[in-house]
Amino acid sequence: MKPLLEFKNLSFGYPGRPLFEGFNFSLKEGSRIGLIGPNGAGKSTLLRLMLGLERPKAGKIYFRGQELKKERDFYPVRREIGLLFQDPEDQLFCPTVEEDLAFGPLNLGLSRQEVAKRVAEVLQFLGLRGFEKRLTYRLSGGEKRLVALGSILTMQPKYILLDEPTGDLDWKNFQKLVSLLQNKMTSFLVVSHDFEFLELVCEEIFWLEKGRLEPLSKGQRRGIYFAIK
Amino acid sequence: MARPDPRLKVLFCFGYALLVATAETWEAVFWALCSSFLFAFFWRAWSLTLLKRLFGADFFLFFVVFTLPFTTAGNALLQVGPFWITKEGLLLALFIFCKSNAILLTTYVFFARNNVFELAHALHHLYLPSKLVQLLFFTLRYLELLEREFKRLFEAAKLRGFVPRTALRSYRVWAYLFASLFLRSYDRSRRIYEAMLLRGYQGYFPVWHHFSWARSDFFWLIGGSIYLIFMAILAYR
Repeated sequence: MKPLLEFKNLSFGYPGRPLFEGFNFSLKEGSRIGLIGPNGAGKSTLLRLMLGLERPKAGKIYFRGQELKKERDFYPVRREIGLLFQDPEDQLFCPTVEEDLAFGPLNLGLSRQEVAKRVAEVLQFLGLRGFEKRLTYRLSGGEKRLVALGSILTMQPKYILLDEPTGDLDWKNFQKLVSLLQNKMTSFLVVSHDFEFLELVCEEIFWLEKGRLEPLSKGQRRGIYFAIK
Repeated sequence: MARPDPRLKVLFCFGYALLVATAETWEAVFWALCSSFLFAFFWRAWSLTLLKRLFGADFFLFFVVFTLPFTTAGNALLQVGPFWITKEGLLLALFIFCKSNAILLTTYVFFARNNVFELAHALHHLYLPSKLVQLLFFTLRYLELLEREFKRLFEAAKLRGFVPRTALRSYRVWAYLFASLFLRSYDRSRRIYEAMLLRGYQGYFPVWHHFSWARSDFFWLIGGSIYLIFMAILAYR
C-alpha cells in the first residue's frame, strides 16, 4: 500500500540545534505507531513537520504520492491527519464544548445537520454525552484532553497524531483512552514517555534519538519493560 | 437578554453611542442616561460585577475629565491654590462624564449575555474587516487567560519568597514577570492559531447556533429606530 505521508532525505533544525539530517520516514494508514525518546530529541517537531507547521531546510515531503511545497499544499493533509496537542489548553478556544467540536466541520463547509450528527456521534464515542453546553475553560484537565481529542475526531481524520496524551489523565480517563485506542481506532501515532502505555496500544515502537529513528525489537521492548517494572 | 439578533444589537449600540457622543444638548444626555438605567432595570443587569466594572471605568474617566474645570475659560467659581475652577469647565466635565456612563451602561447591558463568538460573527456579517474582528476576538477571549497566566507566574514567585516592595530588586522581578508573561502569551497565541489552522480555519468564525431573524426582531428594529430618531432630534436641536 502507498504510504499516506512520506519524508525523503529531510533536514531540519532550530538555530544552534540541528535535529534531523537526511531523515527518512513513512506513515501508512492502519498502523499504530509509538514514538519514544529523550527530551528534546525532536518528537514534537516531527509531528509539526508532518502538518507543515514547520518547514524542512532540505528534503521532500509527500502526501499520497504528491510532493508538498507551499502552505496551500498542506490543507488536505491537515484535513486528513489530526494532531492532538501536548497542552489541551491550546486547542480549545470556543466557549462551549459543542461549539468547539463543531468548529472544524463548520470550517470544512459541511451542512448543519451533518455537523450536528458528527458532534453527537463523537460525544457518544468519547462517553461525554451531556457535555454539550459545558464551558470549555471550566472542564477538568482530563475532560479537556478528551474534548480536545473530540475536536479532532469531528474532522473525521484518516490518521491521528497524539503528543503526550496521558499527561493529565487520572486512572479512569487513562483506561478510557487506552480502550479507545485499542478497540476503536486503527491509525495513529503516539508520542509518549510512558513506555507501558505505548506497549498497551501500539504495534510498533520507535526510539528517536540524535535524528535517528530505530524500531525497537520484541526483545528490546521486553528488556525495557522489565527494566521499568 | 438573548433575543434581539446580535447584528441588530451591534447596529443599535453603534448608533446610540454615536448620537450620545456627539449630542450637544443636556436634554439628550439626560434622556440617554435615564434610558440606560431603564434598560439595565428592564433586563435585570444590575449586579455587583456591573457596579465594579462601571467603577473601574469611571475611575479612569475621572482622570481624563479632572483637568477640565481648571483649564476651561469662563466664570470663576472657586480658587484652589493658584488655579481657578470655572463653572463652564465643571459643567463640561459633568457633561462628558454623563455621556460616557450612558454609553458604557447601554453597551454593557446589551452584550452582557452574548458570548464573544457571537459578537465576532455578527461583526463579520456587518462586513467589518476580518483582521479587526480577529483582533477583537483574541483580545477578549484571552484577557482572562493572560490574567490566569500572570497569577500563576506571580504565585510561583511568591512561593519562592518574593514580596513586592519599592526596591530596585523588586522592580527587576516585576520586569522579569512581565517579560515572561509577554513571551508566554506570544507562544500561546501562536499555538492556538496553529490549532485553528489545523482545523481548517480560513479567517472566518463559523457559529454553531446560527442567527436567525425572528418575528420579534421586527419589533426590536422598529422600536430601536424610533428611539434613535427621537434621540437624534433631541441631540441636534
